Amino acid sequence: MASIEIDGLVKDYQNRQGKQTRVLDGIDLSISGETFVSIVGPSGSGKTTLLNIVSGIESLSNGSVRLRAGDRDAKVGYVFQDPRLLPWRTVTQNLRFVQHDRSGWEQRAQHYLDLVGLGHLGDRYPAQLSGGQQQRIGIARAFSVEPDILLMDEPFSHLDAMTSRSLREHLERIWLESRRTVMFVTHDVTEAVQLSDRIVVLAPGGRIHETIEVDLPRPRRASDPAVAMLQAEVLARFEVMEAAA
Amino acid sequence: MTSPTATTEPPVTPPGQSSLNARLRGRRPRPDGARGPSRWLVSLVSLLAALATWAVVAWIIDDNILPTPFEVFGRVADFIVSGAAFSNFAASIVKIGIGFALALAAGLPIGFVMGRSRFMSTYFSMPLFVLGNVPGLAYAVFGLAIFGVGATGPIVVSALVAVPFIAINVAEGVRSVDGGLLRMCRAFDRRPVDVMRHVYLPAITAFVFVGVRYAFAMAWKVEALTEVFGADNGVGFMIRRAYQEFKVADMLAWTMLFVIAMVLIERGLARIETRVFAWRKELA
Ligand SMILES: Nc1ncnc2c1ncn2[C@@H]1O[C@H](COP(=O)(O)OP(=O)(O)OP(=O)(O)O)[C@@H](O)[C@H]1O
Ligand SMILES: [Mg+2]
Repeated sequence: MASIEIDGLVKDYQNRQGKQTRVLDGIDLSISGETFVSIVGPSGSGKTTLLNIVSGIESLSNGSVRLRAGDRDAKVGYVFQDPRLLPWRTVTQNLRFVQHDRSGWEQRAQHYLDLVGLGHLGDRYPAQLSGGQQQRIGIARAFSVEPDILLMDEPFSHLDAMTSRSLREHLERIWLESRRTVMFVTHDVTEAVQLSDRIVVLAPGGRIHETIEVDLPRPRRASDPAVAMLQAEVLARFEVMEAAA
Repeated sequence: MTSPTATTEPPVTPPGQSSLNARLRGRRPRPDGARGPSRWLVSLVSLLAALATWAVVAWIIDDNILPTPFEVFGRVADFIVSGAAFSNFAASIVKIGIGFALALAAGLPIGFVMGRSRFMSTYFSMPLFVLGNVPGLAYAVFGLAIFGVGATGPIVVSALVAVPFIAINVAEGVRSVDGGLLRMCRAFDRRPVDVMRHVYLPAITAFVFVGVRYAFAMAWKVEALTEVFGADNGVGFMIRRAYQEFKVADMLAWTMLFVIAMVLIERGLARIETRVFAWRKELA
């Protein structure tokens, strides 16, 4: 079972003149098991920074982050805001590139490409795919390493409403089939409600404003009244926070 | 954190370096279909017109100083049949090839550090600028003065001519590598060797190709010039020998062979380029 333990995480950025800005200010967060956690918050509240620190892309200034899977270090998959595929490699080669474990990777790659509905496009180059298709490859890539922990940074925000709705459904389906610990960043509250077990609201200045448990049956439909009601409620609380800031 | 995937853009021509050939060829995207053959036809007509003018002028002058196209073509055919054309081009190309191998060996690491560090970029820019702007004739003369008659002069000269093109383009390629892709590599815990092989190298390749093509056009001319002054075989040497023996038809024949070889090699490189960069192709 995988877990993410974040303790007193602080992140300062230093600008050219040596002045420090605090971007994350004492984040405590503990996620364990096959939980889907969303991080929501206004632009600039430090969501991407948080994910980057958790994934090891960026360093932290203070505090600690521990990723564990049983008694070993957890394997991480990351879905970025943009697809970030190698343009000179085919879809399949892109999936191959990220494999730690080369044994059986072809079946894994094919399996997750099938799950995002693009199993027939393995030989294409990224430039030969639409934006939405590229993003789906990015999702398949992250799942294909069979990560203990899956990090996603607004994976649908560059896409039109229709594509992102269908990808949300894809994502929920894949996750239900292949559950793992997820940290999902979004600024879209309705998206967070539809996908998450727990919603962590970041306030401007990089503190946790509140944590909301979502206990609704899955799969969830956006049109489900219970989902819609909770969405309205969370949105209202979110607006109160933004107004206070 | 939105980073443009700059890596998919075709490489830029380094400032101050342009190839007449590429521009004359007009590599603008052209609407597919009907225009292709008509372009060929126009080129053919232009070629025939030039040949006709030459023939008429030669006929009017009627002197050894300007042989007719038929004499020159006759000599071209003689050189090809006798094998002299191939042995001398082979000699020139082997020298350029060795020079290029040296230029790549020096230009790749220099370009790489230039792309990664501002200090290195500034450090190398002056020497490369100087190398790139020494006149071909000066290279030829120094090649002879330093190395005497033989293969070494032309090899060193073509290496020196090619290095700046290659280094500058490699540096440009390294700079073009998308930071987002590098962060992706870190997130998925990729080893530096893999990043080098699957991210840096492909990104650089496009730029190296451009550098190699320009460098080739330059090196080829300067190398031939060097052969004129100090070599015992090769195309430049053959041109000089024909000159000394006052065989104008032979000089023109070698010059013609030189141009034909240059065009063929450039086309060959362009074709390899298209194949290597299949990933850039639009959806068929
Ligand atoms: N490399 C950096 N150097 C200095 N400041 C930075 C750097 N990266 C981010 N910041 C600052 O940190 C803050 C948080 O940025 P971050 O990208 O984490 O926000 P975000 O919550 O993901 O916003 P968005 O919803 O717009 O993506 C911002 O104020 C940003 O200006
Ligand atoms: Mg962000």
